[in-house]
Amino acid sequence: MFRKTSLATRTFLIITLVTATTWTAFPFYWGIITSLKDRENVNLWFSVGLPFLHYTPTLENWIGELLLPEMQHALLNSITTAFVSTVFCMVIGSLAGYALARFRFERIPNRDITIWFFSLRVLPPVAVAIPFFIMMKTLGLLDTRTALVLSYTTFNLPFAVIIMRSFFLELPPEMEEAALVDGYTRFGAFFRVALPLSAPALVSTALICLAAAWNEFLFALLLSSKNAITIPVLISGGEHSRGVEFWMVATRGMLAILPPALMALLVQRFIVRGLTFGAVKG
Amino acid sequence: MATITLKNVTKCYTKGLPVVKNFSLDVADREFVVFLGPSGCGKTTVLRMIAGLEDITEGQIHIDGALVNEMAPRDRDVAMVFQNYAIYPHLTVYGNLAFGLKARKVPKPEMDERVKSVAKMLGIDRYLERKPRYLSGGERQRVALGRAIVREPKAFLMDEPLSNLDAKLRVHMRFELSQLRRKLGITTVYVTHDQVEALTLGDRLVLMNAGEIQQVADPVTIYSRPANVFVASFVGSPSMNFFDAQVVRENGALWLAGEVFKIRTTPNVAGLDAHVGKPVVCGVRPEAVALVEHAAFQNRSELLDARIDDVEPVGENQLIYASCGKILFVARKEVASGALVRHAVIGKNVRITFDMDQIHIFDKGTEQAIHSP
Repeated sequence: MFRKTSLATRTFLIITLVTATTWTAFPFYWGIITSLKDRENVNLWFSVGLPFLHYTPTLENWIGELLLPEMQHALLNSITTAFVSTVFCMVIGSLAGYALARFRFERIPNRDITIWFFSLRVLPPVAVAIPFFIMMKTLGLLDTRTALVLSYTTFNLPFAVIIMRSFFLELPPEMEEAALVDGYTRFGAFFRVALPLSAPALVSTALICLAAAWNEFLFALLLSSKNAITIPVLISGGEHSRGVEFWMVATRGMLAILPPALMALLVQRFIVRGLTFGAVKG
Repeated sequence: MATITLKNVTKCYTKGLPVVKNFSLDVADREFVVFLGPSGCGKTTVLRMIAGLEDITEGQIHIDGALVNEMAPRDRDVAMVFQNYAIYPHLTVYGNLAFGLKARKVPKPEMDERVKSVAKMLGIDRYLERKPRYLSGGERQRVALGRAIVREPKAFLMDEPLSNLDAKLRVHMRFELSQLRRKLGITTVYVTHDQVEALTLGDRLVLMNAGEIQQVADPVTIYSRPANVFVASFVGSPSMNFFDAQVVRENGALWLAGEVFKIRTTPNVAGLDAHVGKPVVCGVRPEAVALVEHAAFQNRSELLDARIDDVEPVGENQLIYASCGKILFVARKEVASGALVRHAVIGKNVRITFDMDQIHIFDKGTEQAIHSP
């Protein structure tokens, strides 16, 4: 590719690529090296000093954070709320999406239901922050993981419904009809044919719901005070009277990135298109 | 083994015109019935109503004597073969064949035996462990057929099962289907828009147009005695030649008077007396039209002046396109008796004649047949 381009284009390309890569990768680099520093070394070399060369890296921060009860509690809260709400979203979302794609509703047309789900998706969550707070207070759920699971499910469900609906719309209905004629109920056709074929869509949607719940800050801040604090809320509380403790913020930031990143790596083989190839083409 | 009975079945989609109107049909046990008609004539809808995949707006469907209007597809014990195969891509060939048996809780050893014997019969036993995406079109079609056969259902419903195959493979699979139906002898309803498939496979043909039955008859009758203009024009390739005429009585004989010609009817053309003075539609198949020098008809008609527009070679036949006034006639001529040289005859003035033993006459208004040979 380079051989046929002029020097100017080549230079431009290289500069652009280097800038873009640096821009994207630098925060991670900074986070990692800072998390390996002790507090004396934080500001060395304008905070970008290289480990081993400019300072001796240490796992002290990581060990300290992981042993911190608040951290353990927040990690547990984040993991439970994100996973449980994602499971709810996927179970309800795939069923609702399937119903919207396959059945015709008489009283309220399918299109209107879909648009209603979509409207929930574009609604700014902050608009319902106070009503949610009052509802949770009335239900006695303030500062509980249940409150967070409920609110995350509320906000991620429309996304799951819309994505799964459009996936099922693309899936040829004949395969499920074949299952119906072959002796299965609608649920049988859904679980044995439609659902296995929608694995890529299910996995991608679940990952996005998981990430959204994992990163959620507004409702976590609003609805939790002590027991139900999640990682984002914990990180934001990293500024103390002693000033910003960068080594701690960096460690917590990296800790927050790790679980979703590992998740994505684990399931990436499912996120492949073309699983339906060969079903209906000649 | 079962009969299928449809009584005045009508299907309307909400706020729409009926797509199937007053459809009544009795399919006998072990019979192979073919629904034939143009795209959108409602033939697939009828099939899907028999399968239970579409609700019935009005009327009744009985399978093996039992009313199935409200019965779920899984309880009707019919098997369906879809146009696009609809085999399960996430299952192996074995899984596809065994899928319906699993639903019916057939014990494992029996299931194994049935799947293997059907796979063997269809020549796909080598692919049992393969996923459908590694199979060719013909093999997928066999899997789809196998999935239906292995269930040993009361009836097969086939929705244009061969239309996705290429021409050569289609002819081959048509032959195999024909063999299979003889071997299995299961009641079958087969939908197609391909008249060759219909004429070769069916015990009886149901010709449909615009949601209505046009004619129900065996293939020979459909071809030789079409009930109306639609059936006459739909079956046969190339299509029957039609021309408008008026029945007139002159010199004690009945004549068919067209715009530029007049043909005297022969005594074998019956039933026209009631139509004197009325307009009719006459039809002759290409094989009953010939240039006068080739005509070997026993009872040939008056000669018509025409001009040759084109000659098409079609294997052992030549199709001669000759226009007579505004009417374009197609004549089929066997090449064996000497081929026409295309560039030498185009534009030539010729005289054509019909075989009066092969003429069809339809009422202009109702389009129903008045006389068939």
